[in-house]
Amino acid sequence: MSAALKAEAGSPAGTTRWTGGLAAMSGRNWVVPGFLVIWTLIVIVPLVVLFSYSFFETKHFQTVYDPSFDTWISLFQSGRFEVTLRSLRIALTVTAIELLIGYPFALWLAKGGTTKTTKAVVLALLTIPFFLDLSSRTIIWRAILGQNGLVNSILTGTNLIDAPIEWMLYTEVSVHFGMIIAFFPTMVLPVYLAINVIDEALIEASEDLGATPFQTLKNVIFPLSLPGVLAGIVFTLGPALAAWVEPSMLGGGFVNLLSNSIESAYTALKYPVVAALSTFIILLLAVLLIIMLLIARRFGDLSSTFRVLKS
Amino acid sequence: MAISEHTHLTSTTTPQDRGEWSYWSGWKPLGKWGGLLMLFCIYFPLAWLALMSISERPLSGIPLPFSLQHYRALFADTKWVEPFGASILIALLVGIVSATVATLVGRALPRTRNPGGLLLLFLLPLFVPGMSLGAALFIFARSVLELKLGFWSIFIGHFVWAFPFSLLIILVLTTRFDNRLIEAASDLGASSWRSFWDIEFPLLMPGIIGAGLFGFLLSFNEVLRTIFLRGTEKTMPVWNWIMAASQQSQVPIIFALATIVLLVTLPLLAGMFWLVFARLDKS
Amino acid sequence: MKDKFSTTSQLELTRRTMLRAAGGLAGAAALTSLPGMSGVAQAATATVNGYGVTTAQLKDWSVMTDSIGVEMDFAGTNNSVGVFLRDVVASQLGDEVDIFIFESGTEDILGPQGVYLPIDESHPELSLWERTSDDWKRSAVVQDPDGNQWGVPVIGNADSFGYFPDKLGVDADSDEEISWSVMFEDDNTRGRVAYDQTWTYSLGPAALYLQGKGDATFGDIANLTRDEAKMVVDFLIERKKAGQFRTLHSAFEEQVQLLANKEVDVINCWEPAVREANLKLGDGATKYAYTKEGYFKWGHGAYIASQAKDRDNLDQIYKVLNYFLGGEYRALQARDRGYAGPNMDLGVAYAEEQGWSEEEIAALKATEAKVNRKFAKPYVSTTTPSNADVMEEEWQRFLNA
Repeated sequence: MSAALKAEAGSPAGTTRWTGGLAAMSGRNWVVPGFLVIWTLIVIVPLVVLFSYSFFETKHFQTVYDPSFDTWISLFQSGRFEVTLRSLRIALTVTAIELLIGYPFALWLAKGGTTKTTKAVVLALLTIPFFLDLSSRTIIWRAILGQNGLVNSILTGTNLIDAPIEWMLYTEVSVHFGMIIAFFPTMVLPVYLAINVIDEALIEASEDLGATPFQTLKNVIFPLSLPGVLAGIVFTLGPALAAWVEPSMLGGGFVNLLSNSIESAYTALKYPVVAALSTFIILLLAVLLIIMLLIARRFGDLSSTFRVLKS
Repeated sequence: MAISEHTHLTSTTTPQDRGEWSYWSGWKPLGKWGGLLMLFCIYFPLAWLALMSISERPLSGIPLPFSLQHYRALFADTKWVEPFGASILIALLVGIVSATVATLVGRALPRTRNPGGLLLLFLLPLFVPGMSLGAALFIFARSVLELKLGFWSIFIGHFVWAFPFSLLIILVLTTRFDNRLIEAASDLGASSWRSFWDIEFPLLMPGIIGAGLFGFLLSFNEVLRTIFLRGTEKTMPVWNWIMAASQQSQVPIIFALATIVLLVTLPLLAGMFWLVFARLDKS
Repeated sequence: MKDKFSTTSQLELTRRTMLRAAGGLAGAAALTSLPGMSGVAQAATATVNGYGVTTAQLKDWSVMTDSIGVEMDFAGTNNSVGVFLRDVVASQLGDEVDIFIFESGTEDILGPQGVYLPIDESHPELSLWERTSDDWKRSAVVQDPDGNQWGVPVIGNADSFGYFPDKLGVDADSDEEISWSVMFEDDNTRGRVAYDQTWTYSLGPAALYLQGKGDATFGDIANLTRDEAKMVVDFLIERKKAGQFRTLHSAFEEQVQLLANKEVDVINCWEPAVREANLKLGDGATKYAYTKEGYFKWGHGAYIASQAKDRDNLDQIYKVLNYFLGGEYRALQARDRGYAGPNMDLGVAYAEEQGWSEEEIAALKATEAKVNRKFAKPYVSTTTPSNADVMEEEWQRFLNA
């Protein structure tokens, strides 16, 4: 692909030529601004309203519209803000583990010489869980991991252990376990899509030039798959932060995460607490993203990602 | 098609002997079996669930004795049909609308002045926990606008959730799209509609299908936002959620239903993906 | 302090909103009224629409239809009072629903706000009202603090905990009173206890136990002040750190599973969970406790939506309310769930009339005796304590510790 075209894509000249050619057909001049208006109305404004609610209070199931910092102060005094830190920590751990298992798997699936049928079946297997109720899938693990569950029965039955293992259920371990299983497809699918479109010729060229498999991976495949990796991280991190079923079913009430805390606040109709908790975690995420962007920029990876995206 | 400037780095290869560990033949099986183990962990409870759906006491953890009573109960009790139909309908709508809008926006976005900033704005719902966004939309629609909630608000909640996913999938394709094809077509005198339909659309097709599929799937299982936005309506996951909290347990029925959904979707999806591959190979 | 966002004025705005929604949102309205998609059928003359906790449901409503000629279309809700209040007020369920059934407390808020219709005690269809005892019909479950009658009593029970008699070393055949200490402080049960995860259900019993031990006194166990809640939570955190609780449970299925799989020895569950577990483990394997200190006493009330006064099925609604006071409903609820309610004698009479077995009739009488015995002890719960906000906040401290 020519460098000229690459430069053009971002330049005003390129923009004009592109839009000039198709403006008449799709009216793309108004598509983005028009949708932006709708988007503002259904996303941005509600979030701003939610934020403003964090300065109110709830007394006896009624919201008191008397602006103050009381909700924010109580958030920190009661230690409730800890649920956001805990949620973030667990979500990040889960995402990292997903990437570690998911990337090699996606690589194997896309470039490991798999047949068409294998690909179709594996992709279908990765998609089907979306159709099935998460709670009935998760509830099953309790019968498997419990003190008298399947795993412990097998282990004690074969005399491998004397007493049943207790940490397999109702701990942070089991919550991690449940989440890793639930979010595996959301990591693999975008990574696979990105790796799959990488031209075989590039990989062969790299090998012909004497690169080791690791160098090919590091210098060719990984940079080209970065958009998919970023998408996978985002697809996994977001839902993991909002995890609700796994902590309540496998955490035994000891792993209090954001959604559980919000649900509890709801039993007293405390919208301001919901608002403050949400605002706090969005701010934390923003800080985290900025740090990620800065680190990525230091290594020059991200800008190249955008260029990859654009070329 | 896509080449990054990283590729030239491969020519500055370090001596091969330093990377010998990377020739180890175990890497590939490791990647393969790691993922297959995860698939096993996903499907083991599903198989267990299917087994339990023909068990007399599904929550006991022991499958025996077998019985088809839950399937009979499922077909005798039609209360689940309405939420099930509602879920399918909303999911279809969300899938179609988000695929269409994502295609329109995804084609236009890379050519705007500040694509990065706009993209972040459109991806915002990914970073807002489900219950928070549900509560935000609820407060805005109910307390501020005083609208009555129902299917329309569930749809908006689901669309806001699904759109970022659809957009990203489309963008993966549009940003790699070779503009020269379009330019060549218009040089040859093709109308802009024709060049879209004949050239761009087929190339974007896998992405559009993917975007629609993601929209459908995300909507079909959505519960965190729906419980805020449903008004008096019920979707399948919300019905399950209510039933799981009730004393008159419907869980055995839910197991039976999940098993049927599994048996229907497995061959369907496998067939669809196989078709996609066969088609992609031809073109 | 309240402005247009408060629940009171939200309801006053209902009509205006509906008009606007009808006009301005014709498209959306069309979508919600797609044929066959409406969640709750429109009120017809012979049908009464109910909404509320699933506990109040008959396993088969057609039994009622056979008796009084009224059909029931009942939509279940989750047990959270927040969800219920939101559904009723914010979603204006009263536009479609005739009868709400929920645990005591909502009438204190929604009654004075005009969401519920006051009960017409002299309504001709409410024929059993006269003979219903004041213990049930004048209780806080169906009246607000000012004595206004907002509801009709449906069912009630005194909740304690389920346990394995052999594990606690208790004689399985006796009905001796057990202290809540097995829940909180007994060394034998440490790590073998499941405690409910919601503050509405779990904060009270802990306070009750501390009071019984003489460690503290409380103004109202159902409505703890900040300092009182703090003290109870400090105690619970100390016990949590000592490893007393194996898990904190949050759903009925989970209660059944924990007992049936013998994952715990003691659990503050609902009484039907013990019945379900015994179905698998055999009769008497688990028992529901008589306690020394007291119980979480609760009751469900049935309330009429205020919008129903302009509908033409008010007679049918009162027929259903009257049915809740009658023998058939009483007998079925007691048999299927072990729950009591007003006019227990009518339940026994119904069972005898229907030719139920001696055992079943004896069980009905036992249910009445059981509830009478348990109701002699404290405390009466409510879902809407005025200190809900601080109680919930303190409870989060327990969950986060």
